[in-house]
Amino acid sequence: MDDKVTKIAEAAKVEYGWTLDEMRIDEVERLRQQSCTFYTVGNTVRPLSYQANYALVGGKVVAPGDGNVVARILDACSNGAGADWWAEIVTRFHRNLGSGIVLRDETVRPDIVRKMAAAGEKFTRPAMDKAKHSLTFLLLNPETYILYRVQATRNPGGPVEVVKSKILPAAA
Amino acid sequence: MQVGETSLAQVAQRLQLDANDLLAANPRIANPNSLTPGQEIRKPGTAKGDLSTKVDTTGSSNDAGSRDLTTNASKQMESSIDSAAMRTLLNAAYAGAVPADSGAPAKAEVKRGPSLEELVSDKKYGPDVKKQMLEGLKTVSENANFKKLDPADQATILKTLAANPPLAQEKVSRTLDLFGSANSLSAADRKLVVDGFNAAHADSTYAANLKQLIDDAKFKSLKDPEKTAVLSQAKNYPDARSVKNIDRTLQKDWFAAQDLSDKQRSLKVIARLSQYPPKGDEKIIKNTLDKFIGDKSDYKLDWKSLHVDSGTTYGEGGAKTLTLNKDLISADNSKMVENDDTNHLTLNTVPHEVNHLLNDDKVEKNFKYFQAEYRAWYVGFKAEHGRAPTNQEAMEQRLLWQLNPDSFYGKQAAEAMKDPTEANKLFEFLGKVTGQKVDASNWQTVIKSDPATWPHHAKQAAAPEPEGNFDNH
Repeated sequence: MDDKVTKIAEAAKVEYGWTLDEMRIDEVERLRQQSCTFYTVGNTVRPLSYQANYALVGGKVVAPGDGNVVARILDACSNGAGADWWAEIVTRFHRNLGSGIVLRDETVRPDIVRKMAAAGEKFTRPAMDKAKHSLTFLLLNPETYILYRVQATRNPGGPVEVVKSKILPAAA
Repeated sequence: MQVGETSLAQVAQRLQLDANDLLAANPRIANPNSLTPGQEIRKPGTAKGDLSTKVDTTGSSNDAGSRDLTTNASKQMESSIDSAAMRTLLNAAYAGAVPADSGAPAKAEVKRGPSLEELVSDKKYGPDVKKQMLEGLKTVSENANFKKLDPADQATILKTLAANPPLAQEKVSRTLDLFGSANSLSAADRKLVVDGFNAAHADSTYAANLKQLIDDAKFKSLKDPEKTAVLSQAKNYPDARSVKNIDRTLQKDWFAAQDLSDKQRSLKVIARLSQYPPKGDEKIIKNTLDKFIGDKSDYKLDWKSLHVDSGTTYGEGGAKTLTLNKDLISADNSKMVENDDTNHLTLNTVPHEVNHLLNDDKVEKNFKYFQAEYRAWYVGFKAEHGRAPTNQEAMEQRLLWQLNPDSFYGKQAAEAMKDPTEANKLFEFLGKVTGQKVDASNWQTVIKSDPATWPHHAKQAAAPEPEGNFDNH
C-alpha cells in the first residue's frame, strides 16, 4: 500500500469505522489532475449502496463537504480540465449531490437518452458557461432511477452552489 | 324554557302545570332533575310529535335564533322512529351551541349545530339505515363519558359517525370505548384522537386499535411529548394497521431507547409503511415490519446522519440493525413529507436492507453476491410497486448499475467475471433478462441495447425471480 492509499485508508477508518482489511480503495484514474488524485473506498464485507469519495490535494486528504470544499478542489486541481471533470468533482464532493452517475456522453446510459427523447427532452453533455461562472450537466441517481439536471455556479472566490432539477420521470 | 332552568319541576312551575303530569308526558326523560340544554319537552295532552318547549340554558330557546323543531322535514320522514325522541336525542348533543356571526355586537345571537336528525337527514340513507344511525347516535350522545368531551369534539364525532354508515352496535361500542379511554388524555391529545377518528371515517377497527394503544401500559409510560408524537401519527395515518403497528412498536426496546426525534422518525416510517398496501406488496411489507415489531423479532431500527457527503444514502444494514438516514426524515409530528427521497427510504430501502440482513449477505467477488444485490433490489421494487419488475425495469433500474465499472458493485462484478464459471452464471442470467444469448463477446453491448430490439415480449416479461429469500419471511 503506497503512502497515498494509506492516507485515504486512515481517513475512511476515522469517518466510517471500517477496518483496513474490509476496505476496497480504488483510484479514479480518469480524474487525476496535476498533483490531485481521487479515490473511492468501498466496504468489502457489508453490502452497502455507497462508496466514500476522497481526494488527495497537495498531499492532504479532502473529504466531501460544502461548496467551499468543492471550490478548494477546483482551485487546486482544475487547470485545463474539461466540463466532464468538473461535473464529476462537483458530484462526488458537494454534499448536496453526494453521488450519482454523470452522463458524460450518450454512451454512458443509452436508456436515459431514449427516455429523454421520448419525453421531449434533449440530451446534453456537461457544459460550462464561463461568462456565467456556471456548469450544467445531467446526473442520474442510480438508486431511484431519477434523472436531474444540475446547475453548479461559483462566483470568483466563493463557494460552489448547486441546484438540481428533476427531469425524469416527468411529473404525472 | 328560560335561562337557568335545569329541572322539569322548574319548567312545570313556569308553565303552571303539574310536575307529575309533565313528567308523565315525557317518559323518555331519564332524570327530571337534570335536563340537558336543548332537550325538548312535551306538554301534557299535546299530540305526539308536537313539542311545547325545550331546554336551553343559553338563552336562545324562544328567540329568533331557535328553530321550530316540528319541521316539515321531520314530519315527512319515512321512518318509524318516534320523531320527538329523535329530536330529544339531538338536542342532548347540542350542549355546544356556537355564537353565530350575526354582526350584532351588542347581543351575540346563538345558533345550534345540526340535530341528530339533521345529521342524517341530508344523507341518502334508507329508512332502516337512518333508524339505525339515529339509535346509534343517541346511544353515543347520551353516554356519560362522551358528555365529558369538549362540545366541539362531541359534534365532530357525531358528524363523523353520521357520515359513515352503517352504525352497528359494534361501532357504537368501540367509539364509546375509544373516547372513554381518550378522556385520560390532555385536551390537545384528545383532539388528535378525534381528528384521527374523523380521518379514519369512524372505522371501528381503527377505533378499537387506538383504544388499545391509549390503554397500553407502554403508551401510558411515555413522556407527554412522546404521547403526542404517537397520537399524531395515528391521526396522520388513519388506518387500523398503522395504529396496530404503532402499538407494536411501543413494545420494542429499540424504540424505547430512542430520543424523541428518532421516535418521531420511526413512527412516521412504521405508520406510513403499514398502510401502504395494496399499492405496495402486502406480504413483503408485513414480513418486513414483523422483523422490527413482531413479538419475537430481534431486529432494530436506528437513525444516523449517514455520511452528509452522500445525500443519496438512504440506509444500511448490519448486525440485525437497519440504520436509516435521519437527514431525510424530519423529526416532528407532521405527516411524512412525500418526495422522491422519503418515498424511496420508506417504501424501498427498508425492505431492501432487511432483505440483505435476512439473507446474511456478504460482499464477495462472485455471482452469488451479484444475485444478492439483485435480490434486495427486487424486493425493494416489489414492496414499493406491488408487483415484480419487468426485464426492462430490471436492466435499466438495477443491472446497468450493478455492472457499471464506476460502482462498487461493478468493480466486484468485474472481479467475478475473471472466473469463467462465475462469468457464465452472469451471462446466463443476463440471457434470461434480455432473451438473448449472452457471452463474453457481447454482454456489454447487450446490456445497453434498446429493449425494443429484444426478442418479442422479453422486455415486458417479469424479471427472473432471484435466489434466496425474496419476500422477507
